[in-house]
Amino acid sequence: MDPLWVTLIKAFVLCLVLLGAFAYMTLIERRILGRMQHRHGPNRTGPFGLLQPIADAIKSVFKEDIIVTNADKVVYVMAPMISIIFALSAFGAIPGGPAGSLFGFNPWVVDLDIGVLYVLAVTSVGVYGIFLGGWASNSKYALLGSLRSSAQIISYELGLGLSVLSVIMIAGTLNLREIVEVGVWTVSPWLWPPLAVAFVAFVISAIAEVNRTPFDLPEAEQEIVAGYLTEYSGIKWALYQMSEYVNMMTAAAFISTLFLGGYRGPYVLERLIPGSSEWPIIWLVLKMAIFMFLFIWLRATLPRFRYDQLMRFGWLYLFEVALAATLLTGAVIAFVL
Amino acid sequence: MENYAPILVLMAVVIVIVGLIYRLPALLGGRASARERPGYLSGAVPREHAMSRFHVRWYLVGLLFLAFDMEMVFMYPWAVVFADIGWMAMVEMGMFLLILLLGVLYAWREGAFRWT
Repeated sequence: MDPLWVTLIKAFVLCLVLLGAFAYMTLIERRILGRMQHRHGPNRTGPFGLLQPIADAIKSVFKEDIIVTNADKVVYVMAPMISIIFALSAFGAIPGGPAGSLFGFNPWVVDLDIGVLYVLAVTSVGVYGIFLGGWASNSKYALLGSLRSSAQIISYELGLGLSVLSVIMIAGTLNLREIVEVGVWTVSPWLWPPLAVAFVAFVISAIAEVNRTPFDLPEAEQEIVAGYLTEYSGIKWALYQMSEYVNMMTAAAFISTLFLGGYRGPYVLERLIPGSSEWPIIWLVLKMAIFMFLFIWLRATLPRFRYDQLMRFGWLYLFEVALAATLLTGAVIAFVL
Repeated sequence: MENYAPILVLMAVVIVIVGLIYRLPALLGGRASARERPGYLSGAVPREHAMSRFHVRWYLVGLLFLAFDMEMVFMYPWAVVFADIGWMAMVEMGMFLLILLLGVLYAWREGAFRWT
């Protein structure tokens, strides 16, 4: 338990780092997408386009703020804030290194016994931001986008929640730091098949949860203009973008923490340089970077699901596969170990 | 309970920062009141409120979710203590899941997953 001022500083630093990472993720995403489509992407603003996020920020601050006639104004104004507030809060529970490894401080804001539940719960509250935003906009497209987003979230939440269960059963705890310290892959080779299935199911449902291609139906621009974002402009739009990218980062960090050893470094390197797996932050950031790249890569590669395909996939395949992984893990733990 | 206090601190910091960002346009000399205009409808002027009618199937999905989310809430404490209890926990949860799975099959037969 840290003193109050330490928590305050850590929370402040976490927010600034996440917002800075958001700004440069937009640039990195556009550059990578550009390269994948045989074009340059933004490269005119500063060297390699490095000033582009700043230009974007200035633009969205000074853009005209628009409110739709007969929109539910209070909800309309509140919705982007709900979205970003919960997106930023979720990240605090994710451990960035072993206790006391960051200049003598713990590299997390809060160490919860129910860390898994906290992250799952807070990220799903963030959906209310998207849902209420589209709901309050008084626009057909926004309403459709928000309905799609809530239906999608509730369909994929099941796969997400169920595929976490294998990890929890193996680790026997909901504390994210303890899950990392147990190291779910090191328990027994018998557990590898169910863990691998759960991992794939979890990554797929996490992508659906953060509304990324091929699950970006809430803002499918070829079908419903921009979905829940249609009527938002200026700083409100920017806040929605922020929450999307922060959610992506939370999802990437959550996947790494649950399935890929989180803040711990690779075993091989630990043999070469003893103590390297105890370095704070860096391993988590590297693992997150891999998943962020995966999200961008998928966006450049895959077409979007059709809506009925999406629902069928969530309810009839992902849910059952995640359930099977859970039961298989249970069988291995009960009868083999 | 004390372990949870940092969440409140984190949320307070987040709310202050987001609030500042939100006020930034106004602080930097934006318009005091936002402009109002009708919602976007691909060029047409909307004649009615957007929230007039939407398909009942969203309601169905919501109901299904409620059932299964409750199931998942029960599965978390079960998963934590699973290794200690062993195969009896497996059997008990299997019975619980079987009942719910029958529910899915019923909903499937009734066409809850048929979207077109």
